[in-house]
Amino acid sequence: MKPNVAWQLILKDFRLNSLVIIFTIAGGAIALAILLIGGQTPVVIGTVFFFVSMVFCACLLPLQNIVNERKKQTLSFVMSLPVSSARYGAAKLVSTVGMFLVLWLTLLGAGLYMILGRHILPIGAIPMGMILMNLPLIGFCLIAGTALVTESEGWATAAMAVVNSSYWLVWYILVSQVPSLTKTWGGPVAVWSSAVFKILGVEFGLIGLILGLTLYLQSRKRSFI
Amino acid sequence: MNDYAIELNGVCKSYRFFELQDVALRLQRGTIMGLIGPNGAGKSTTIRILMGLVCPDRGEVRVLGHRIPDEQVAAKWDIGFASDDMRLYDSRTLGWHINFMKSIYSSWDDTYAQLLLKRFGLHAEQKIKGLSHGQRVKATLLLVFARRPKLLVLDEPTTGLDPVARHDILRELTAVMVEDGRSVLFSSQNTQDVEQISDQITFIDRGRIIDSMDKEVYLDRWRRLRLEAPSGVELPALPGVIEIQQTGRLAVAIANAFEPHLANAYESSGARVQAVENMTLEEIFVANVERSREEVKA
Amino acid sequence: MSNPLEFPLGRKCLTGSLTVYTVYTQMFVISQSDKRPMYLQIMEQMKQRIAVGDWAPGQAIPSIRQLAVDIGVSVITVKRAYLELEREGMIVTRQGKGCFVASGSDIGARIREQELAQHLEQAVRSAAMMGLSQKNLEKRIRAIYDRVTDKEKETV
Repeated sequence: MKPNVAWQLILKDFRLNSLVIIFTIAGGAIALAILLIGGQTPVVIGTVFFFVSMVFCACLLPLQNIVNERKKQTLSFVMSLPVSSARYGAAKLVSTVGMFLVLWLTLLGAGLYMILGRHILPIGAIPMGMILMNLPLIGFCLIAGTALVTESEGWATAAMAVVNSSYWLVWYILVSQVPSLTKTWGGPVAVWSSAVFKILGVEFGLIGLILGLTLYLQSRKRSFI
Repeated sequence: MNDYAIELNGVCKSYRFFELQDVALRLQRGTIMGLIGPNGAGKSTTIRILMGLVCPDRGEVRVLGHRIPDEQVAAKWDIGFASDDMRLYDSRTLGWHINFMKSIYSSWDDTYAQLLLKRFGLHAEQKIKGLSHGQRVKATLLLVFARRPKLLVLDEPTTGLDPVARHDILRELTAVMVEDGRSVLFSSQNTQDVEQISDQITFIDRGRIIDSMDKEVYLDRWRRLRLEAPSGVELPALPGVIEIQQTGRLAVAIANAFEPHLANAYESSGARVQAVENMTLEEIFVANVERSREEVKA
Repeated sequence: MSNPLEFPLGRKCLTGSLTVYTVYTQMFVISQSDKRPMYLQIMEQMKQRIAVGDWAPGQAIPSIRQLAVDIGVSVITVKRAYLELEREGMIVTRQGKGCFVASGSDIGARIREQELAQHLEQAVRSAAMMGLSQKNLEKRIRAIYDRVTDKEKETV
């Protein structure tokens, strides 16, 4: 029974980037610690920090895991292993997304604990919070997908620039165009309106589309070097 | 079960400033082939094509019986590849890489790996970023050798190595031949290395294969004749002689299809043959490349 | 399956079919700066071993592959050396059994004879190129012979 090379590659990526994951989770932990202090200013700072650590990870991980493989010339080492370009791409995407999810799920869980357990924020903030949490996830998928498909640091950086400057724009659009979101976020009850579901649906749909497109384009490649 | 470890037929690949044209190459199982050519001749491109890293525009590629690039995964289980632009993970140790290879290849021979560590003067606990160029190359090759692959494909394995390191690597390359059926393809700028350990030599220049044959036969075809042509004697142009350089009464003729009667032909034209010398592969390399470039011009 | 290989000087090298950790005994040293082709150098050194007596008539010699690995040269070069030596009658290959020094106690003497013949032929050719007459050549050879044997008498 031949060992699963793709799986070994995923494990290898996790091992290589363990420091990045730990570092960003530490950043998130600091953000939550600030939140626990309580009071208006710390809550604002803590929340901003919370999102910044995700945005930071969304940029750093694709650079470290995807772009560096080509830059540091370890790509030919990996491609000399019994793996095809398509499987390599898939494994790389899985490991990069997987590592980001470690941070994202940790922060999601911690965030929910903050709201439900410690009452730092009102429960009504959960739907909007969920929508906002998905933004770095979508941004990350876009950056990672671009990095993998274009094999170019330049394009990956461009994607980062576009994504990072879009967060505020999206926030603005959501708040101004969907007033139902902001109406109930200060309340004691989480309101899952159809608008919320529609937006969440679009967000998850986007994630699926970006990842699917990435896998498709990667499998169409004819040369790796 | 096929007789050839590598078969390329009519392989073409064009880039903006370079074109690989009609490359045909056959590596017999159980032999070592040295691929030589000037910089930019297409050695690395040819190797990348047979490893499935680059897809050719046209042509057939078969490695260990598998079609490339469609069946490259099956082929790569039995191929050990190393190129001079390949790097290992800087932040990890050599031992980490050994364990990584072990997790993938069941053919990993740990005893041999330990022996090579000693022979190459390396330590498993060393981080890759702390290694010198020569040590890094040896480490990369160790990861290939210790797997005992059926086919080794090495792009410039001895480039930039000191004489002792080169000697060590060549030793391990020839040791591959102890086991029946294992093959090696390596490209090199070092004609001495190629001359010493290759069973077959393939010459490539400007994207074309100019020669590919048995090394002993090849070396036997080339001779340098030192001639003395007394005044009034015109040196004839003989078949098999590709170049004559004459200054005054002394001339040097280079033959790439030498037969003993060639010397007699010169003698009967009035010239005296002072010496018939064998040529080193390096001298053949230069003469060959110059000849093929003249032919292309004409 | 293992075949013990006995090299001169009594060093044994065990080779198994799967795990071969070759011990390089460097039986012969091939020089890249030597103008002669490698296969000729190998042939000469093998003949020397026979002439000196390290390899006795009828004794087994390393296989082509094993020698190639030991010296660090291509199999095809060693193959050519073996073929030429077999043609000259210095070694024999027995199907399935391996390679052996040809039997016959005069092998050593035959090799030395061959060497002498080569040297003499070279001397005559050089003399002819210089235009030396046969009589003058004989005179010179006699002078050298006297000088060399005189020296030997002195050292005795």
